[in-house]
Amino acid sequence: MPVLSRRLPWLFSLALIFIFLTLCVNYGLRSGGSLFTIAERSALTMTYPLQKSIDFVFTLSSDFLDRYIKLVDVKERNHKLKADNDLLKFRIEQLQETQNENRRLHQLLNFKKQHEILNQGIAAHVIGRQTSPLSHILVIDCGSNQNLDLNNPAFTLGGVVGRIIACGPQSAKVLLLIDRNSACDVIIQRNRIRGVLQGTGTNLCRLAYLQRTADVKVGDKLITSGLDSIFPKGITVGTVITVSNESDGLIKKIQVRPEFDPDTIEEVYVIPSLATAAADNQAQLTTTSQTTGE
Amino acid sequence: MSTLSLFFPLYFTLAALFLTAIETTLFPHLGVPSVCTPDLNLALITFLASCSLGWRSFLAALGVAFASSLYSSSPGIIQPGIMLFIFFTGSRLNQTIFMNNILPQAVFAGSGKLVMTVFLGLLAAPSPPFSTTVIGAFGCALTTALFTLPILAYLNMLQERFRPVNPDSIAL
Repeated sequence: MPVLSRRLPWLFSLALIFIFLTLCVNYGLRSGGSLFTIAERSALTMTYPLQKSIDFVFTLSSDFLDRYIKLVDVKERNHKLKADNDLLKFRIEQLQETQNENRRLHQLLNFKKQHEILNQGIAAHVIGRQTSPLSHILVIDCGSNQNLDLNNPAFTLGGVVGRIIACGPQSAKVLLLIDRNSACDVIIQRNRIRGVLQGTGTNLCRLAYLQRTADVKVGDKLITSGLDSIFPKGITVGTVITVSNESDGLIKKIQVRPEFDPDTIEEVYVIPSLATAAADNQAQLTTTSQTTGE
Repeated sequence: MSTLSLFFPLYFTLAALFLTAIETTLFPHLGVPSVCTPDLNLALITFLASCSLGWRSFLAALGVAFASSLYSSSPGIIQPGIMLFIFFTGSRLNQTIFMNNILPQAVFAGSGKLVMTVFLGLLAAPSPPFSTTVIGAFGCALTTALFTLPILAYLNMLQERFRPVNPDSIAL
């Protein structure tokens, strides 16, 4: 009995739990759990302010962290992204330049294929240009090391550009056709009339020494005659843009626009001395035949 | 006997209710995964299991089990039943250990969460994979044990400070 009386509270508690749980289960089964529904509604109503406050505090804190504290990292990241952006822009520009260069060289190659004599030539980059308005000279990155010499002709996509007037081991100066000291023997492609193309110091040239009666029209194409022993024959030089007769003169006044823009030239094609090139070709042929013979 | 001691079960029921509300709002903000959300009410159950207040502690445990089940996804009778089972299991242990060592209490609360998760996982329909149940159970047990430590320390500190002269009464 003492044992039972000592355990009576526990037995009473267990019985109470059992009765309570049974009642809950029965009530829940019969009423579809409305007891819990009411209790849940009450609990939600009671705890809503607390939950709302916690959520407000944490949302405010996270917003503060995101918008202010983390801005330090954002600033550093922004600097890094700006640097990356600048680098990418620079690379894009480099790629665009390479693409443009590739296109120009491709056109130059086509130009070279059209004129067999140019097969002996080499391409050179323009690495400098005279800044004086009175002289029109380019500096290219090829020189005597590449078999270039004085008076070697230079071309661009449109046609003749000029000739070399000074040649170093690795660079050379090209006197443009438009320079006042430049001259080139040309013929009009349409009727084969000869003339001398002279530079004027501007972006235009002058076709000199043609008689008043010469048949020259605006739009006539000029090509090299090959008689000056500098420029090979048949290369385009320019186009006639104005033709006029001086009132008291014996010759025509003809303005010619060359086929290149002096301000935008970036690559030129230079033909080494014809004699040198021929000698080189002969030497190469000899070497090849000797190798084959062995 | 203090008049307030009559409301002893109500205190813990309300505490369990607000503690559950805090759990459901606070832990998602802290980034605790839902599968590892601790059950802080088990800290109250564990504490009540160590209280030698007879029917008051039992009623308080009943209130805690009921209040916590209101926020559970398995309201019915399962969750409060398991919590009460844990309460009676705890009350069978040596109370000296419970009162003087907070860590064993936390471990017991974690074990309780482990049992609850396994039971609820097994009873859930459709049943989750066994591996998910095991991982979730151990995750819940670990986080519950960790998060109940400060609560148990605070409750034990309160009990020590307001130790009643008459062991059958309590003054909060």
